[in-house]
Amino acid sequence: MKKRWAGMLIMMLAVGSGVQAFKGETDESILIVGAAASFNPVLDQLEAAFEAQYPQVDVRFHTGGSGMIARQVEAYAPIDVIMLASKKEADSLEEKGLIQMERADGFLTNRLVVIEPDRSKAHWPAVQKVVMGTPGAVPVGTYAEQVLESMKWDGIRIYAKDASSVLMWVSSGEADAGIVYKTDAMSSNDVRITHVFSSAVHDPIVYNAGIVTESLHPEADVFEAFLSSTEAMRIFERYGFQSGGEEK
Amino acid sequence: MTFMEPIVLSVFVAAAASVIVYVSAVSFAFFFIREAIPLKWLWETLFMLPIVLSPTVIGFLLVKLFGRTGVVGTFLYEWFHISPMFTITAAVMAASVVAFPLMYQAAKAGFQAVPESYVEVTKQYTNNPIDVLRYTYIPSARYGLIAGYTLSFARGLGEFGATFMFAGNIPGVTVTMPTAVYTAFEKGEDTTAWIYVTISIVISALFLYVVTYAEKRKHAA
Repeated sequence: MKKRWAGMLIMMLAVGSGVQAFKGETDESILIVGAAASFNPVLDQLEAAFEAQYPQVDVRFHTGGSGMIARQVEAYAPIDVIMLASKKEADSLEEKGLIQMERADGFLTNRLVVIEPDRSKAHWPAVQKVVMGTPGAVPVGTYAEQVLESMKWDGIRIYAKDASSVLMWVSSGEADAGIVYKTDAMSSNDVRITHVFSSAVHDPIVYNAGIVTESLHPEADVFEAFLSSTEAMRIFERYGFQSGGEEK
Repeated sequence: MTFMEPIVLSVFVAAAASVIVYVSAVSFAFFFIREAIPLKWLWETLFMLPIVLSPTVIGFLLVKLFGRTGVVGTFLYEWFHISPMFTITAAVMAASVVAFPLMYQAAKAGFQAVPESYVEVTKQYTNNPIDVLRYTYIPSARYGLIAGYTLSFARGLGEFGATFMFAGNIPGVTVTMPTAVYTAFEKGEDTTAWIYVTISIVISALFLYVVTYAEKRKHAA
């Protein structure tokens, strides 16, 4: 008898939660920002700074690859603002009328750097192997290939799936050197930046922000404007980003 | 995002999915084992597919079907003005799809083992198939069903790929433990990742213990 009651209780709880789940819709007061994974280190501070100024807005960051977020916007996921690491994706979304951008040339830029493990014996460019993103698959790999080609470097290239994997290879000492964004390098304590590439030898690395056209959130444009504010820029710069249009 | 949110959300999503999966899988298994269904092999292959398919394939299909421009999604949006994408409903749907085969398999195996004589006895009292299911099949197969239920609950708890694509990664709305581990790892917050990893392992181990226990009872019975 006792068993039956316990079973019924579990069933009731489960059914109750199931029913509730199906009533669930994304709360409209939440401002959802689709942000490229490269923004991960800055998001907590960015959110705190924005919500201090606009306490009535609840910002939540949905993070993932730029391509994934672009596809989700195309499928009309309820994203209000996007921050992408791919100009190509941002441009294509704007062409389709899905987003509006204040600045097509990007609100932030990044640099490409060489990282080495703390106790490396060989130093760039006199290394045998370099870990980089896969060219064509991830932008960080495409830029790295452009740099290596421009200097006719012909050592062994190890392709990793993204910047986080490159960091892991280098910090664990599996490779002598790796090529990542400056921001990635600064987020890790286990690697040193030993060279910063000139931004003239690769395509510009830009980050685009835009308001999703479908968004009904009244504060979407406020957030987008905040991204270019002095306060937001100070946070971005602390993590290695540079403001757009000032590339040196 | 508070620390507890991903844990609560994970359990909630897995619980909701497990009930949906239990009801649907038991009904289908009962129906399929007693009736002559045309193209049975085809249906059963479809039912079992999520067990071997990558969750990213399931995520892709869910977005293409239930996204607002999807086949079903367009209809839902036009007629009811709802769109499941990026909501907790999406997370429940993803978890249900991946957990379904486990429950279906357990229910089917359990029902197949029910002796025909039991069914004959029940049939002397009632002709209602619901009663046959309730008084013969479910009680006789109870340990197999418990094992299947627990396993599908645990599978729902661990769903990542389809959830990430279809339900998103929104703190407090759809961030479950697996997505929280992924994001924490990307942020380099290893301590946070370790905590969620540990909790996931402990919960899953407990569930698997229940499965082993139920299986043992099943063979003893």
